[in-house]
Parts: sequence; C-alpha cells; structure tokens
Amino acid sequence: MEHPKNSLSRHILRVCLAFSLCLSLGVGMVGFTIYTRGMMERYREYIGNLLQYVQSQLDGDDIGQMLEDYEEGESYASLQQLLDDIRDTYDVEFIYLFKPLTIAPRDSMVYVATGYNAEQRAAYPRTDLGFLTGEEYDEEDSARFYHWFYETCPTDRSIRYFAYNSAYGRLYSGFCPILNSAGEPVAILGADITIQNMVNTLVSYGVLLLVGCLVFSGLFLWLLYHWMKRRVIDPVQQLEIAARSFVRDTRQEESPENLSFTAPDIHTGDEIQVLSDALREMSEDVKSYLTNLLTQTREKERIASELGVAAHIQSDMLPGIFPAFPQFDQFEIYASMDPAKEVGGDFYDFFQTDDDHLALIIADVSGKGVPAALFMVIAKTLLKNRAQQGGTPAQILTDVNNQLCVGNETKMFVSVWLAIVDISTGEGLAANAGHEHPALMRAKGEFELVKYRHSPVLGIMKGIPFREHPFALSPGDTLFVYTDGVPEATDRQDGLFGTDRMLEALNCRREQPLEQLLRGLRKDIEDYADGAAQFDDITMLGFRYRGEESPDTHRLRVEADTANLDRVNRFVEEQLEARGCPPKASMQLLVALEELFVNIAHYAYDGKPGPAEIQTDFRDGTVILRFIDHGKPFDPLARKDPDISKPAAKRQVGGLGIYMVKKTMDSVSYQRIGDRNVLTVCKKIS
Amino acid sequence: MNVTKVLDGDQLTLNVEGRLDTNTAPILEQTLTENMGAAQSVVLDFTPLTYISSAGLRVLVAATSMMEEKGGSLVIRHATPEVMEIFEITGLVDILQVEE
Repeated sequence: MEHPKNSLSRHILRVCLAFSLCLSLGVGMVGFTIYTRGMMERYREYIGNLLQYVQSQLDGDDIGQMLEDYEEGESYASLQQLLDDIRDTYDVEFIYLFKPLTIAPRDSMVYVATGYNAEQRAAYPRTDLGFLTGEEYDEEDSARFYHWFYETCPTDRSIRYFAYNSAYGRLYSGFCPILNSAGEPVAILGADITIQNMVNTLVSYGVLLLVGCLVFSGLFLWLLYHWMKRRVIDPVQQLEIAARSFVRDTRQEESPENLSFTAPDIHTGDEIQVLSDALREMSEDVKSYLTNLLTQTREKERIASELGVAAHIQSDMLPGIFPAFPQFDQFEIYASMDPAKEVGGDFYDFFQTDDDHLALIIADVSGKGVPAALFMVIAKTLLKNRAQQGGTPAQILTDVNNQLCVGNETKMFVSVWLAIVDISTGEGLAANAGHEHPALMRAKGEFELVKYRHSPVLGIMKGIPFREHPFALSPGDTLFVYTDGVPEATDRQDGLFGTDRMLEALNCRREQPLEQLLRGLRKDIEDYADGAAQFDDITMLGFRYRGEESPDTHRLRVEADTANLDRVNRFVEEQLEARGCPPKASMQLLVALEELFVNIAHYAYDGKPGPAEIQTDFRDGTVILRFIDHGKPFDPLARKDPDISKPAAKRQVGGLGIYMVKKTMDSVSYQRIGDRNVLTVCKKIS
Repeated sequence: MNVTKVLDGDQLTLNVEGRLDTNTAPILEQTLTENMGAAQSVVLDFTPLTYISSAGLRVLVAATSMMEEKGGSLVIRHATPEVMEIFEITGLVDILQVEE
C-alpha cells in the first residue's frame, strides 16, 4: 500500500491558515466600515450644527442686497467678524459664503465673505466680496452647485455634504443655502473640515486590526494545530501505519497464525479510539477467517485426494485387462466405464461361472457419486458371488434382489442386465431388471435394439420373481449393452444423444474390433456433447461371439516330444514373420514357445507319449499363444522363481525357462478346463 | 547349430552359429566337455548365434562354473542385442563374462 499523497496534517494546516486569513480580513473590513461610518456621521453632525448656527446668525436680505450692489453694507463687518470667530473657535478649515453664477469652469462663482484665522488676518488683506473663483472648481462641480442653487434650493433647504481630495488636502464639506425673507436663496454657506486626521487614524486602525487579528489567529491556529495533532492526526497516522503493515503481512505471510495487528496505544476516548478498537477486532476476524479458510481448503483437498483414491479403487474393481480371456478364442469382449463424478454408480462385469459359461453384467445404480458408488460395490459383489454359485440369471437376480432389499433404508436401487453364455455353443439366458434394451448385431447384419418386457429393478421390493429369455449367438454375432449415460448424453442445447444415434455410430464401425467400436462410440458421444458437462456415468460392454472356428486362430497338434520342437518353432515363426513381428519380440515369443512346449514334453505325460496343441491368435496387435495338453493337472506358473542373484556355482539350473516367460510376456495365465491344461501367453507386438 | 573350434595353446575359441535350444544345447555341451580339459581360457564367439533358450543358458552357466573351479575363464563375445537381452532378463549378465 502506498503512502497517502496528501497528509492529513498538511491538509489541516492549510485549511486553518486560509480560514484565519479570511477571518482576519473579514473582521478588519467590518471594523473598518463601522468605524468609518461612525466618524463620518459625527463629522456630518458637527458640520450640520455649525452651518445651522451660522445660518441663524445671518440676514439673507442683507446679503442679497450686498450681492446686488457688490458693496459692503453696514453689516458686512459683523458678518466677517462672525465668520472669523467661527474660524477661530471651531475646528473648521474653511468657512465661506458664495453664490454660483454660471456653469462655466472659470469665474463660475462669486464670494461674499470668508472666515480668516488670526494668522491669515495678519498676512492677507480682505478683498472677499465680489471675488470670483478661478479654476478651483471644475466644470462638473460648478454645474452641480449651479443646478442645486437655482433649481433645488428654492424648495429644498436641506444641507448637502461631500468628501473630496482638494488642493488643501482631504476635506469634508457641508453646504446650506442662505435665504432672504422671500424664501429665495441668495448665497451658499460652505464649511470645510479636514478629515486627513481621520483618514490617518482609520489607516492605522485598520493596520492594527489586521496585525492583531493575524497575531491572535496565528496563535489560535498554532494551539489548534497542536491540539489536533495530538488528539486526531497522530492517532490516525498510527492507525494508518498499523493497518498498512497488517495488510502487507496478510499478502506476504503464508500462515495466518503468524499474522498480528499491532494496535497503536490510543486512549482518546472518542471515535478514533472506537475506530482503533474496531480495526483490532477486524484484524482478529480476518485472522480467524483466513485460518478457517485454510483449514477448509485443506479439508477439501483431503476429500478430493480420497475421492481420487476411491475412483482408482472403483476402476480397479472392474475387469480392465484386455484381451480379457486370451485362453478362449471363441469370443471377444471389451468394456469401459467413465464416471460423471469422481466415483460412479455404473458397473460392468464378466467372469466365468464354470469352465464353459461366461457371465456378462451391466448395471446402473440410482443416483451418482459416493452413495451410488457404495451401493454399486455391494451390488457387484453380491451378483458375482451369487452367479459363481451357479443357477440361471432369473434365480441369481431373485436372490440378489432379496439380499439388496434387506436394510435398504435409503431406497437405492440398481438396474441390471445379466446374461450367462455357453462358451462352446453361444447359447444363453438373459435377464433384464429395468435396464436399457441391449443392441444385437447378427453376423453380416446391423445393430438393432432387442426389446422385451423388463423385470423390475433390484432393491425396491423383496420376493419378486424375474423373467429370463433364452438367446443363441452364432459366430460373428455381436452384443452391445450400455447404461442410460449413452442415450441420455446431452449436448449444449440439452438435446439427447438417443439410441438412434447410438445404433448409427455402432453400425458405421460394425466391422471393427470391439475396442475400436466402443472407443469410436465414446468419441461420437463426446463430439455430440461438444463440451457440455457429462451428467451421468457412461458405461458400455461389447461381446462378440466367434464360435469354435475363428479366422485368426491357427492350431497345430503334435506329439508332445522335443523332437517336434523345430516343427512347432517353424509353425509359429512363419506366422510371426507374416505379421511383421519385430526381432526382439519374435525371439522372446519363440523362447516362450520352446520353454512351454518342452515343459509339456517333459512333464505332462510322465515320459509317456501324449498330444499337445499350440494355438496362435492375433487380436488388436497382440499375439496370443495357447498351449493345450491332456496330461495331469500341472500349473508351471505356481513354481517359485529362481534366485537370479546367486553366483554361478550355486545357481539352480532349473526354473529359468518359466522365469523368462513370465518376464518377457505381457500376461501369462494357466487354467485347467475339463481334462485339459490351458496355458496362455500374450504379448503386444504393435 | 554349427560349432567351429580353434585351439591356440591353452586358449579354446568356439564359434557358435544358429540356434542354441533344447535340442542343440547338448552338442555345445559335449564339444565343451571334450575340449575344455586342456584350455585355461575359453572364448565363445556368439556373433552368428541367433537364438538361445534356457537349455543353452544352462550349458553356459555349467561351463562357466567348471572353468572358474579350475582357475580358468570363459568369455562370451559379440552377443547380438536379442541374446544380450536374455542374459539381462535372467540376471546371467552378472555371472557370465560377457564382452563386446
């Protein structure tokens, strides 16, 4: 977090300064105005009183006569004496009588008499009556006097005042008309007082006021600032530093346990302390929130990783190694399961119920996720256990249903399609407990849905019977079963994939091996969904019956004798060459062939002659070798592996052959089927 | 299988050609027993050997063991990658003296 651009203290200082300046100026202005007004009022009153007094002492008719005659009458001396006395006695600069004549700038007025002080009386002769003004008054002033005297005065006798700057300094003047007995104005009495003193006083008063205001507001400002700094700015800054360091810590610190908010020591008892306390509480909340979040995140991760393991366990429960039954060339099988969530409720299964019968199961548990997965485990285990005890699909489903119903408080159920096929004849029985219709492709034909009445799903009602249907598969027939995740896969517009699209996708790949067929359909579903989320588990199982004679299977029946090794070797080697098997895999397959054939020759018949059959088969890039004999039951794989770390002298020379077979082949399995030992090895060559 | 032998002083060199399997291993075994007596050092040249099974390995282990008992040595030379792989899988690469 950055430092604030404008610090609070500087802001406050600036505002206080501006405020005190404005206050000082305002106070100064108001004081100045009031003082000036008061002074002027006093001067006006003073002049007014003076003029009224002099006016009352003058005889208008007499003055009028003197002006008519331009001759000093008897009363002129007393008039002059009066004015001189006034001049001596009162604080007045000038007092005079005059009459406006014209509005012309020169000689616009004529004087009647002027008051002189003692000094002037000694210095100047008196020649006032008839003395014309020079250019003391400009045209504007002359006109003003003229109009006032001749137009206003006959009716309005009030006194006129005005202040001005004259050649004699700053003056304040008052004028009043002198009237004759007829009430006509004959002359104007003027009195000027100097206001220079007042102006000087005013200026010094203003300056003093301003300085005083500045000093006082400066002092107040300084005190206010320090008080605010102590009570507001400093605590706020401490809070800011503490909050900033806490924010930085929350971003850098990995463990919320180590976070701490160093609350500043604020005891102002006002809102700032409340704010500080609130910040401390908030930091504690943030800390506990972060801790909770961390705990919850870890918990989520733990659950996710456990679900991952669960998903792994679930996928491991389903048979996932293909080719699944390499010892049988009569059929081909492939299946896949893609859960919508980590774990799913769909499953498939296939296993031998005896030497000649194969059970095929596909099932869909109601719901999804963990509950469905748990129920799926129960259903799968019960079905396999029950099926391996023998019985028809209907019997198996009846028994499993009864078991599933016990204690099924959550009312979960499972739809199951179960078939048991006779491997050698292709005939079988199927039961459908509420599952999707299987799709069947007859050899050279097309996939079609096989519809028949379903039995109810498993797990909802105890003691109900189940229907079963016989069927027969001919070589080349292919059976495809699936869960509702296939037809009900949705695209972005919630459209359904549907069984028609499913059949179409199957038919356009009907010649392909089952693995490609199922993968192709899965890809078509993905393309159709176009990124829309998968809502349901998608599970598919394909079963292709090939019967006894498969075009890819070659067999060689020979006497189990090492003398036939070259013949057996040639038989396999030719086929490996024809398939373009690489030299390394070829050598390993031939070594396996020799070891297992020699094994039969040496041990199967206890030295007596007996037959051995070698079958070769190629499926999806995998070579399958089958060794069949009718000797005593013997599983060479059960033998303990030799300890290959012992030195030469102590090495057991036996057992190396089978050990090599186990190490070099992808899968090795032994089965006793009827009176036959069947040993099968597989190796992927491309 | 063809075995060509060259005896040079106390060094016996055997050139083994073809397949060394259950049926041919006894031939190599017999050749070795007959000629190893005088030799202090046996060299098996496997350049032309195309195939070996556990029967062949047994002969090699037994011969190596015999040579070591009498203080001599048995060296296998020029084994093809396929044959080398068999030696490695069975752990015999540590017991047999295999040279390039």
